[in-house]
Amino acid sequence: MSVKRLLRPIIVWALGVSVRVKIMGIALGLVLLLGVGAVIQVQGVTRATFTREMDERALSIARDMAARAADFILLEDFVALRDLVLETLASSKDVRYILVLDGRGNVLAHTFGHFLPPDLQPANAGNQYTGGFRIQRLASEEGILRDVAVPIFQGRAGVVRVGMSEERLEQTLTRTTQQLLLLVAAVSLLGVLAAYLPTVILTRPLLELRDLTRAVGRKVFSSRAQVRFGDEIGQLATAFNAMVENLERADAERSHLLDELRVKEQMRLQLLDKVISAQEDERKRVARELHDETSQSLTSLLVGLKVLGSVVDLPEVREKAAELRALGGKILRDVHDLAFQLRPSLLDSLGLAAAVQRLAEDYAEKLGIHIDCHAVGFEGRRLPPGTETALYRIVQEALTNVAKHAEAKNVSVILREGEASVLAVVEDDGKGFPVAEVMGSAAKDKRLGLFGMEERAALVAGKLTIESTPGEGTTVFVEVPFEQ
Amino acid sequence: MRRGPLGHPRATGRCSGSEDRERTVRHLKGLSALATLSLGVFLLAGCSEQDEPPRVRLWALAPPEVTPTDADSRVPLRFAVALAVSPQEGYQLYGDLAEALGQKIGRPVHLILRRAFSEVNDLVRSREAEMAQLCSRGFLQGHADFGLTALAVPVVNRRKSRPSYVIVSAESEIGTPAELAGKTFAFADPLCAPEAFPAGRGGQRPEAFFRRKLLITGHDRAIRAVAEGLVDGALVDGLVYARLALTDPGQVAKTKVIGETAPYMNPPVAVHPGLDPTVREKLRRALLTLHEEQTGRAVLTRLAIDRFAAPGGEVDGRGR
Repeated sequence: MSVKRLLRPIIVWALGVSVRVKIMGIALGLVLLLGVGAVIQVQGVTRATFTREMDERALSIARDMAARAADFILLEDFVALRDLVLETLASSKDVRYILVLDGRGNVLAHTFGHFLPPDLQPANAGNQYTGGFRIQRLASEEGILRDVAVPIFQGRAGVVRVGMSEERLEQTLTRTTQQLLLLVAAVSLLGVLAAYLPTVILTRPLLELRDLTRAVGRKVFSSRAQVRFGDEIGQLATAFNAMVENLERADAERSHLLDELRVKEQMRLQLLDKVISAQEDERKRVARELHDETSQSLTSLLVGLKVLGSVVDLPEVREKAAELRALGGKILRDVHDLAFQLRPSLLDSLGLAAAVQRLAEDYAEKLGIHIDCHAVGFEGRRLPPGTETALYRIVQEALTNVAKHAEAKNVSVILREGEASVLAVVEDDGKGFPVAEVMGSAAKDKRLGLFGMEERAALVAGKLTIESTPGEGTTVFVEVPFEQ
Repeated sequence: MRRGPLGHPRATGRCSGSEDRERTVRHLKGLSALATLSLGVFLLAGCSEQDEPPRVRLWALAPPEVTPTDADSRVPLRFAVALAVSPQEGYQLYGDLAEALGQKIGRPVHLILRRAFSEVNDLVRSREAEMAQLCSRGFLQGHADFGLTALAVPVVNRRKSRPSYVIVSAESEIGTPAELAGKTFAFADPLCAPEAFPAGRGGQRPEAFFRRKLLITGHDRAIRAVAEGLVDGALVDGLVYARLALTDPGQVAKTKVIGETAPYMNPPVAVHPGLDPTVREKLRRALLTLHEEQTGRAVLTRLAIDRFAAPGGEVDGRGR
């Protein structure tokens, strides 16, 4: 548990390093692991081989010594024994010392001169030999020594001890280890260098993608990821570029819609303003109409009735009464007209076709032009009141525009009821106008009427289309869907 | 706008390249520290030793220690032997004899081995050895020089004298000493063995007779040299040949005797003329009665000796 807790920050740190460091770390780690493993293995194998070889050599030297020394000892020829010992020391590699002891442990010959290291004589002592020899490792100022003891003449003539120095082994090991470590260092360096290039190649596109993603986050869509190869990173870059393109397009559309919305919002405000003012104008007109026409007529009627009261002659009364009835009839018509203008009752009572027919007749009469009105379908069926009102007002606005601007001689109004929609077409042979120019014009009042028509159509989910070319008349299409 | 290597636009992020590099360098430093740590752990693990060996100081020198001798304070009797065999063979043979004698005289007998009878004579003359066994020629020289006195003579095959043998390989076609002319020949101990080689050519020097004449130390070694085909023939002591036939019959079987010298006295056991008569008598008695005890008989059997007899006259005819 505690090990896990200790390892956790290391793992978190290791996972948090950059991809470059990870890849180079893996390469470096593998090389180091291999190198260290090789060093340890080589050290172990070299040490074991060297030690075994050294033991075998020591044993060979000691056995040879024991065989040759036996006669000298038995014949008490200690000069020859010393010569043998010195000669063997001189001719043998790695031999640090040779001791010849008698059966009691007294030194018969050695290679140290007059005196002897006092610790050496009792070391590796005993009468037990495994396989005819005994090996004892000894630690000295010069490093580890391997003391090999071989009995002379089955131990009856003593023992010969050969001390082998591990100095050459240690030197060889140190040299080998140094060379291997140098090699490991060189290979590590090469490994890091070799890993660096692919790492850069691999991670550069990723870093670019990261920077690009940040740029896209700041709505900079102009940059694209570089697709170098067809690998996963290349595919990622391609997908990223496609995404950026989609985002850019979506952002452009959004900006466009936002602009349109802003313009529409402005238009709507103006329309509202115009509606309010039109309402006021209408009230003024009704008030003026009531005051100037109806009120005056009623005043004339009252005066005529007063005069009638003073007339005594019956024929004159009858004449005055007839005048007054005519006056009353005129007042009634005026009031009726006024009411119709405010809200065509035909629309409520007879439906869209009849109301538009009446509207067309009114305008034809008022403008003195020929208005042809056709209604197709509408076989006694009624559309939703909102749809009827919207279409009526759109046709009314279109005819008003004809009256105001078109200078047309002939106008055609067509209503056609389909399966799921009703189409109204108002076509004139007037002077026409550049639709795109006018719709995009800065003079908002010029296109406010058209915008109002569009708004009315949009309120009932309809679509308004205006086709016009200067000098060739104008056609207004409006199609409104309805549920049956 | 910056562009990439292939002309693509390259965005510049908030996190700049130098920031990346700094972070990478920081991480690399951490990584190298971790690697160094692991390396150290690995190396330390590899360098550890299992056990600590005993310490010796090679540079602190002192006189060698001398182990005190045994508690046995009796003065040993020194017995010098001039070897006719190799020292190790001699040590084994005469070691047992010395011990048996020691038991009989109630005093330790210290064995001193020498190759040449002259060395043995020197030891006895200088009183460095009280008793000696040496070849008859050496004894005669010692007797003449300082009065070396014989105590006993080994009896072998009921005889106090024996010849030396001329031997060749058992597989050899050589049947007589004369056929060894122009061959390689080994002498084991020219000082003790008679100079005259029984080739039947009357006084011809061996150097002229043989193609090559070798000196091999120890009669047992000379027998082995013939058995293993190192030399064509050898002149060896009859007593040693008889003994080796007992201890190593395989080797002896590989040889055959094709001639012999005139017999001469078996190597006597002798003492300094000035030796304490009591000791001398004890020794004489011990030697002459050695064959009467089991231990002594075993020792004598190993030496291929029937018994020790008083010097003078032949044993033959006086019973076994």
